[in-house]
Amino acid sequence: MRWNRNISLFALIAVMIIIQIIICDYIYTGPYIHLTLLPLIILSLPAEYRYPKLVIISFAVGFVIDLVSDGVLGLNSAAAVMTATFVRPVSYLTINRERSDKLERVILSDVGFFRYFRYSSYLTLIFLVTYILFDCAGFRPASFILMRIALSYVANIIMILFVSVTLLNKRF
Amino acid sequence: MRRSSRLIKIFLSIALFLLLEGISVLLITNNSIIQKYRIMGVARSVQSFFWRQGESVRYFLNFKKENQLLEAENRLLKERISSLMKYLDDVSTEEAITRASSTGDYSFIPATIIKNSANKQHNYIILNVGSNNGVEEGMGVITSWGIVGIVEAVSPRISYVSSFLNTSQSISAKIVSNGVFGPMVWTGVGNRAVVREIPIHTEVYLGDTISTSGYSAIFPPDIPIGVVTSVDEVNGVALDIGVELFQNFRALRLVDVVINNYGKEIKMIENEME
Repeated sequence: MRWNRNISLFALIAVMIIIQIIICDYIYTGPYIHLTLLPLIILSLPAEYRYPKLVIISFAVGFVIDLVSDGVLGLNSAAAVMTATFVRPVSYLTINRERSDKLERVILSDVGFFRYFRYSSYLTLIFLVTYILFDCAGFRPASFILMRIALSYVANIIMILFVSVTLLNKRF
Repeated sequence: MRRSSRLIKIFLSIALFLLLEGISVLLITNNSIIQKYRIMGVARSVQSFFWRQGESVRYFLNFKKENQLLEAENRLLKERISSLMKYLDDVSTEEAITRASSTGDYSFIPATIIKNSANKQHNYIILNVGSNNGVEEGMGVITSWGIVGIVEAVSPRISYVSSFLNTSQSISAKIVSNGVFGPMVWTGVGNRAVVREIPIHTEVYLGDTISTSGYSAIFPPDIPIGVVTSVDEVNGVALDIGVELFQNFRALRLVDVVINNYGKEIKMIENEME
């Protein structure tokens, strides 16, 4: 039963990785918007995973996306490691510690829309700030970086909530 | 006991975080887009097969646009021929024959783009020609509408070009009206670039043409690149000149790889001087 559950979850994550590669390679969103499913992949991982397992899986997924898609190697993995590091603190902050420890996986129907929105928002922001700073800092004006973070956040949070409601709002 | 094992866990977690983040940062700082191409050489050769198929489909679908570009290019060449004909009328037959038989400073290798990215901060292009066709690292890539990029890595059948639409790419450009030159970089947004470090006293007007300076030995001189769209003063000592590029990087298909016929000699002298 548990085995089947893990297979379903990882099959879904594999599909999300493929979609992410397609987004990276073929969908033009302009210089200000960076669309990514990687934060969603990280926050879809089972909550029971301890930090070492979570961060290594996140790094591996980020690295695979870096390797297969266009762009600079290391950007997605750096942002994924940073996001994975904050998964537990953010879940304690937004969902509360006791409840969060009992959850098998953070899903919208279990924690409620507002809590899930805050949880995914913080993690998406951590991911985007890390990614965009590594991508642009030093040779882009601060206004460009801030605008890119803000617009990417809006685009990503809409996409993440949509996918969470339609595909991930159930226990596997 | 419990407290010390908790401390060890925290310490190990921090070490793991630093290790993985460190690996990622190391990959980024190593300008890894090129490393990736080399590491993934085998995978890329398989991918290039699919890119070629995709390119054939795109070519078929873009026939109309392609023809319009060729027509425009043809028109430019005809204008150039007619102006050269006038010049040839003025010189003696012997001189004309001597000039026509000389090889010139640059030769070109025609190439087709099989993969092109234009939506990133670090864009690249893959060409269907490689070392088998005479392409070498460091050669420039151009079209009639401007510069395209610089060859970064070469395999026998394909070449990897770092596009001009790359925040770390800089080329030498000049203002055609007065010959003043400076480094030109992509702004990171659309088809716009900026020529930096132009002396403040320089007279520049909106609509002036910007072309390659020819001082880099990578690109031939006087290839039109774009027009001036803005002039901004920087700290009261220099001008930043905004440029709208002629080249539409999204419609790129046919390009020329530039061979500098004196490139090897220039490099040899540079090495001797060092």
